[in-house]
Amino acid sequence: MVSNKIFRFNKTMRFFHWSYITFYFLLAITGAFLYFDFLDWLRPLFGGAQGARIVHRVAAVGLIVSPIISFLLNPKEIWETLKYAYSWKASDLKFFGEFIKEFFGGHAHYEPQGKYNQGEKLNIVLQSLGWFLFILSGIVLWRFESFSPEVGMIALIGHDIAFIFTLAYVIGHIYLSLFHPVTKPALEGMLTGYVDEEYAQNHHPLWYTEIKSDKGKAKSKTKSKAVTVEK
Amino acid sequence: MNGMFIDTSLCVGCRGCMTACKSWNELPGEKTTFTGSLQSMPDTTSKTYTLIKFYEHEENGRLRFDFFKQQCFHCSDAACEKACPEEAIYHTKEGAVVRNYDRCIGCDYCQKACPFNIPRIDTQEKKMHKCTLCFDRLENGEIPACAQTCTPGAIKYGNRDELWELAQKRLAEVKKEYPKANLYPSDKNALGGTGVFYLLINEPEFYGLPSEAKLKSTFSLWHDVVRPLGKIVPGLALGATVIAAVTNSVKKQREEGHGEQ
Repeated sequence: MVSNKIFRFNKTMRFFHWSYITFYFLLAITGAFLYFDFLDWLRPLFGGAQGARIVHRVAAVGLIVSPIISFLLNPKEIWETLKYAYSWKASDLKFFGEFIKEFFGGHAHYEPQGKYNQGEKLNIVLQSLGWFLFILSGIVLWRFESFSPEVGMIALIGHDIAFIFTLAYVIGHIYLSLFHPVTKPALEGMLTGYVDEEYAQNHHPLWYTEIKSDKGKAKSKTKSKAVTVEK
Repeated sequence: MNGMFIDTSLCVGCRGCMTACKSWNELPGEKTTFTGSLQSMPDTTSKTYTLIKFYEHEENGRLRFDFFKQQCFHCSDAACEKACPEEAIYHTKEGAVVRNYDRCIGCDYCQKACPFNIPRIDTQEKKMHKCTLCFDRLENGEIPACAQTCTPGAIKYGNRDELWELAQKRLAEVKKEYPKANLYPSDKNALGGTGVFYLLINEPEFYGLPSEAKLKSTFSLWHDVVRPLGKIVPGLALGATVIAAVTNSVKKQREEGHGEQ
């Protein structure tokens, strides 16, 4: 059987995604020790509270540099993804009403979506804002004793807010990519780079027609290309 | 409930209390630098729980010394206790706010939360230190070391209500000489009632104290809004995914059932 595959995520994007979430999870677990008592049993894994503090700082360096390295590897890809994610029009918000239906098993009628749908765009927006907020407030928390109580308290609030909203989105993101019947096929794109043509056509029709027409014109410059894979 | 009343109008700046504190708590001496004042050091540290601050200034052509004894207020509604993520700070039954050494991880949330910036972190040891109100002495029926040693009787320890009445009387007397004199906290029940209160001969701002003794608004925002949100929002997200997992699997089963018919 021949199934057509469409190239969605290049090496830079995949490197960025997996490196970032590795550090994010290390940080989330070691940080959540101060939040949730039910995680206490995991503490010895990180060398207790003081070990967790060191792991948190080491992983923080990773979280800071992972997007920067990705940007240096392929500035154009990262820049255009960000530009795309931050471009919104009022009608884009309708997506979320439909999304809620689909999330709980209903049928959604989306407006045609591009390479990233509105939910994915919001994810990029939230995570990138979270990244900035984590770093800004984290610098203060890193050298907590050197800052005034007022600045320290504001940094604590900033760090918590960044954590709350990125974590909530991450929980939904993991469910959608691993378990949700409709959105599950997208995971392959982040693992191999390629998604099923059918998936691309159904979920990202604007992007699909764009790369199809690009392919027709045989543009050498296009970032995305379609290939046929024997299965 | 007992309390401590520090009458700064009686303080002579002898620093006997500082020495008694060091002695009872077995704290080492520290190197310090000359700051142009007779004050022994710039601030309290993790090894110096209390400090007599010297405010030298000229008044009517004469040099004046005003004093303030910096130490923990032992608030009933203690911001440090609420802020501690490790539940390492607690009240003893005598009302002293103390830190459990083993639980403390030295995260410094307490210092940031404290309205008076009292807790100090030993960054080597990674533990918080501050005045304990000599809770170990209190447990054995003694009074705090500083109160016991204070020669001019500026530090008094005893029944809090009686001391508060005494403070009112002293304030009326002292006001004749120092019109700016005030009790701090001015409200007996500020911060749930502080274990330590002062008679000051200048406005609180003169000593770098907040004009009103209350929880910081940034602390309240963090503790009462942001922290609960931190449990509610990810909790909602988790709850929604669980419900979605159930509704989606129900839907799948129904579709399979239709296929068999």
